[in-house]
Amino acid sequence: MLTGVSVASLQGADGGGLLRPFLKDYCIRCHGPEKQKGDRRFDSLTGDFTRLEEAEMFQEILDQLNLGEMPPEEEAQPKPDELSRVVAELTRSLAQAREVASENSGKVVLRRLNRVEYRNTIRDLFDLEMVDFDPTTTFPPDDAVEGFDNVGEGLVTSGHLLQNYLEAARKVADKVIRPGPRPETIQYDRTDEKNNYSLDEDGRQAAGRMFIKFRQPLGLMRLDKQRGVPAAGEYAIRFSARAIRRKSRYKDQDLRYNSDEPMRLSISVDSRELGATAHRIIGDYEIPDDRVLEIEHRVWLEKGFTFHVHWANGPNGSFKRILRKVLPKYNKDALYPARNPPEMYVGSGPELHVYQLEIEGPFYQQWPLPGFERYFPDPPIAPGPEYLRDCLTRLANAAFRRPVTAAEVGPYLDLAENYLEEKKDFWAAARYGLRAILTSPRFLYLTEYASGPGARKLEAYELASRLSYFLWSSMPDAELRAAAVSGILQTPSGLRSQVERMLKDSRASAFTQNFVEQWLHLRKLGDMPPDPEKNRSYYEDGIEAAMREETRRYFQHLLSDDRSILEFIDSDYTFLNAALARHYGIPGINHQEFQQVNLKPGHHRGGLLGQGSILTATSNGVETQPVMRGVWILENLLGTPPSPPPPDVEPIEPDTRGVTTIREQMVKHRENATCFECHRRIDPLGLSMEHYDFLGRWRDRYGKQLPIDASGQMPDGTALNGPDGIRDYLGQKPEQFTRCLTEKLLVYALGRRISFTDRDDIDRIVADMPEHRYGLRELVQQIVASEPFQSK
Amino acid sequence: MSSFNRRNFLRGAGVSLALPALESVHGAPAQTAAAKRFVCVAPSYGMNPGGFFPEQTGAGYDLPTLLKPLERHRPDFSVLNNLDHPGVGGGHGCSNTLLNGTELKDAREQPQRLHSLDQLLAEQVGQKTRFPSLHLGSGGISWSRSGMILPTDGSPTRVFSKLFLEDNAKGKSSQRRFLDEDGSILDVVHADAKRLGARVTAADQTKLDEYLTAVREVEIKLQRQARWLDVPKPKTSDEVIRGNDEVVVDLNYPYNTPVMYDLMVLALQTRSTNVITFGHPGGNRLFPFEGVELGYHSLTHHGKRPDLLRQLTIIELYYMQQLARFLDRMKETRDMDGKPLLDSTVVLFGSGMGNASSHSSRNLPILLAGGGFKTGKHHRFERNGRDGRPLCDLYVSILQKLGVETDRFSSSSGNLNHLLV
Repeated sequence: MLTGVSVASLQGADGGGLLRPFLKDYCIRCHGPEKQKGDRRFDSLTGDFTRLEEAEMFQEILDQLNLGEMPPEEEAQPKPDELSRVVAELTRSLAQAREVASENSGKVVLRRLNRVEYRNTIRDLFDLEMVDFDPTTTFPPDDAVEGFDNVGEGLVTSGHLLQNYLEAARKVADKVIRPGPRPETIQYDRTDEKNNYSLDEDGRQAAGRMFIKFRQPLGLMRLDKQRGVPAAGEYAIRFSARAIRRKSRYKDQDLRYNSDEPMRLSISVDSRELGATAHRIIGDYEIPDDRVLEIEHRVWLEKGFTFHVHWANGPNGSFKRILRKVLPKYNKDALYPARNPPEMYVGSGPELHVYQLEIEGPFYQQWPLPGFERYFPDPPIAPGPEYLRDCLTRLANAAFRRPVTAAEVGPYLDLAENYLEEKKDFWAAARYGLRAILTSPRFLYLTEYASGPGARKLEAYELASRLSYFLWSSMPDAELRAAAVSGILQTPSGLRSQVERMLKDSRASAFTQNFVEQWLHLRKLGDMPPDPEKNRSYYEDGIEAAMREETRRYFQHLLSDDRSILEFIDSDYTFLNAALARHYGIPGINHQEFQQVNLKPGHHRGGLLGQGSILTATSNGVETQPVMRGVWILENLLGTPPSPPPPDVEPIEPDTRGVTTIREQMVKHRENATCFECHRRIDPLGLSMEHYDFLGRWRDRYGKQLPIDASGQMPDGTALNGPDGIRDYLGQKPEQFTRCLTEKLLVYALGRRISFTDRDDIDRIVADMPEHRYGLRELVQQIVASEPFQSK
Repeated sequence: MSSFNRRNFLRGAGVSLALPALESVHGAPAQTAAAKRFVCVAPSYGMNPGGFFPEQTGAGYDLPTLLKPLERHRPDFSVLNNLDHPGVGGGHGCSNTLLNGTELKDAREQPQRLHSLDQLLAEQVGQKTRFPSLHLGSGGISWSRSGMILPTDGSPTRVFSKLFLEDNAKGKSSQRRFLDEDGSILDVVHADAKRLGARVTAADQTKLDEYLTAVREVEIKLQRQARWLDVPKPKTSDEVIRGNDEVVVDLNYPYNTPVMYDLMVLALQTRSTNVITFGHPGGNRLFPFEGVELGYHSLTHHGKRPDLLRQLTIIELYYMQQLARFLDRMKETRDMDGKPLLDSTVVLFGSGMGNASSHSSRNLPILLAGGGFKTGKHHRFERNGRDGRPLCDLYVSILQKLGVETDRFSSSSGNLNHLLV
């Protein structure tokens, strides 16, 4: 029936009847049989709005008309009243079609956990410390759909992945099931060790102090020899240290050292078995001058890990260099550069002394560990099949994220019980059962049961899982599960307060990290690293990590304080540490720690557009790519991504011999009519960003000469000049930006593409945002409260 | 208990389908196909076309810069000009399409379209070896039947131990136990997935089918592994990675390309595998060569600047020298019939990226050697607008040469037998 109505309207038979002539007059010349600009062809539309592809195409036409993007300005324009009638007609038909279609589309497809979710779920299921234990390192990477790697469509399960699941389950089982007595505590210190690191064997050794030879590691030989700590657990690393002669007669540049900074001692952990990937700095302490500082640092160490301390900002380069090249400048006795003894330096230059170095552990807050005891409480002395079944049922209940029936869990219990009967080893059987449970589709997939046709509200347990994977990228915790049991979760206020609670929880950092990285394409950061030879400070100062951190903190700040999402477009503050501030050319920031920094106009920062992470991720490590930046803005801030270049267009090989600036290269590009169509939107945005170089530093010139021309004009006539021009341009489109962010959030929250049936809900959320002062946390609340989020 | 029966059935099937009787591994199976092995070497940033393609066609062409190191092999390889994958666009992604001719974005609905040439060959000619295929170096060109990129191994020592070092008895027995245990777990989850399938929507069932297919894949793989567990690995000296009194092996020397080539020869010679892909280590590393001042990736963005092109040529020449050395070794090394290994091994050198400076996917650099093909020429095909001749036409010829009865692969329009056979 609806089909009839819609077709009629397209053909002009009913009162509205405007669409076909309108398309013919204004659209089909470019989107018809002859040309299919942007890969769109409208003459073959039948007007059957109930067909999903057609409805989506009409939705796109409507959006373009509403945005005033089409028809392009140089083409014939519809009269205002003609346009408004067509818009009204399209809006009405689409709304009708949506109602019908929502019955059977826009469903969340069964999806498996992605790698991050798998890892977090294991962490929470068994209360594990997962910093150095990661069973997912060999998992193949997950594909992204619509920019997000948690969309079911892209999450394929292959034999290769399944084999990884089997192996990961084995590792987890060995890790979790730790019956038996608490591991014995060890305590190693340096009293019984020969000090290999001290420069002279007797005198200083007797004085009981250790001298850190510049940036070389100092550790406990006994621990290194024994291949690390004997058991996984919490350890206390203790040391005392003092800075000596921070300023000395040696010039900083000779020592390659900065005597203005306080000396810093860092602690690293390593594992011989895992190799370089396991190396990690776990602590960094400022060591005072002429006063002994005592430190106890507590850390969870996996079995086999060792630790070392380092003088993090000690003189750089080799000790030999100092003996040979530097000493002769200061000491007239140092005539024979090759033979100068180390003692000639000791006692004259900066030294970091360590007096005590010790490790003790493992300590446990409770034993058996909570993740074991939770499922295997009070094991009897001779545990049997009945206890095994009880325990594994408890585990399946949690791992499958819903109450399990005896029939569902039965095969898993039988498997373990048969094993017990055969091998007579209870704990091996328990591990075996656990492995099977972690390989089950009920664990690996977020299952939502079907029940009759039509859109349907999620069951309480399903809603709890959807919520926890949205905000935590992990399974529901006990409290969320309790809210599901009691039914509170399905009341608006109950749901709301759970969201508030969950966002405050530390697990919510997964949301900030995974959403932000993917929305803003930050995972590309590091794919095309700049040349290490020419960009030393980028590597030495950890600029890449600092850039990521700036963006992460910025988002977190807006989320925690429910600040306006329009601050993504522009703001007068950001978050910086000393190194990043230096990179940006912002003076007066001297601390390692990140802090909120107020920005002045001359700093050229503010909002996302001034953040190095984005500016670097859209460059190629060699030069800027204005096209990438333009596309990035269209896609991630305006929500109007250009179509990908049609396959018959070759990228133009830049010939940088003849032309001088990237702008001139791009003008050449646009001379091609096919390219012009999209590039007139892309290029002005990208070129306006040219003041930021490929690492996000501000510049006024290319190299030393050519000044940067950051002017441009958008297709609607808006003149842009520099990033501030873009900020103003975006600032005038709060609704469009809100819609863009809402859609991105919704894709991430649902784990599926947006369907045109979601339109009403998105419209509603966007329309309400001004009322909520555009608060980011409120936007998350609105997403959770929406119909699509609560149905399947 | 039907699941147990099913597995027993599979077990039986696995032996006859996936594994030969052991004698045939060591004996010489009668093969009708001309070629038995396939090696693909892929530089992910392509080769600068100006230095790679000769001016003249036919046999007597003048060697362009990058082919000079191959002079001594001139009769044994052909250069193919104007081959590419229709429908594949430019950008970094095109490197990954070398062996399947399909971009990920176009295969969302049918991931099996991503299945790559080497993996198809592994199913056909790789089933009688311990490793159906090896993927070495940097990744991106080998795609499984289910549409996933297969991981690669870039560490020579790991590759060596995988190929030649026996696990100790304890390791073996625990491996055997795991294989057996995993098999039983798969029985349980397979049955459970079926029960679960009855409770979810039709769309979700399709997704669960993926899981069921994966279970079957792993079952077959486990059985293969279990069978090979008792077959001793071939014995070989570890000089290839450790060096000896005369030769010092630097595993890092330009990113281990020479060692990897040596390992490839050993793997083929010992019949550990019949199918190998090797991605040139790329990244943005600074090659320690005289005259090279920028990272590899930076240099590929040369914008035709002569100083950058000169540096890039140094790196690309190095890769060609290594290829020439590999062909030397493949000629010296003899197969079971005492013939040069190269005669029965198809060697494909090529990239899914044409001109790195524009990230173009057109006119891919393709060089073919060995396998009993008719070689020694430079063939230039017609371009029709944007497209040259489908590269997959060559792949059809390769498949046929290796005894696979097919007349199409991915975007093929025919074959190149008229030139190569």
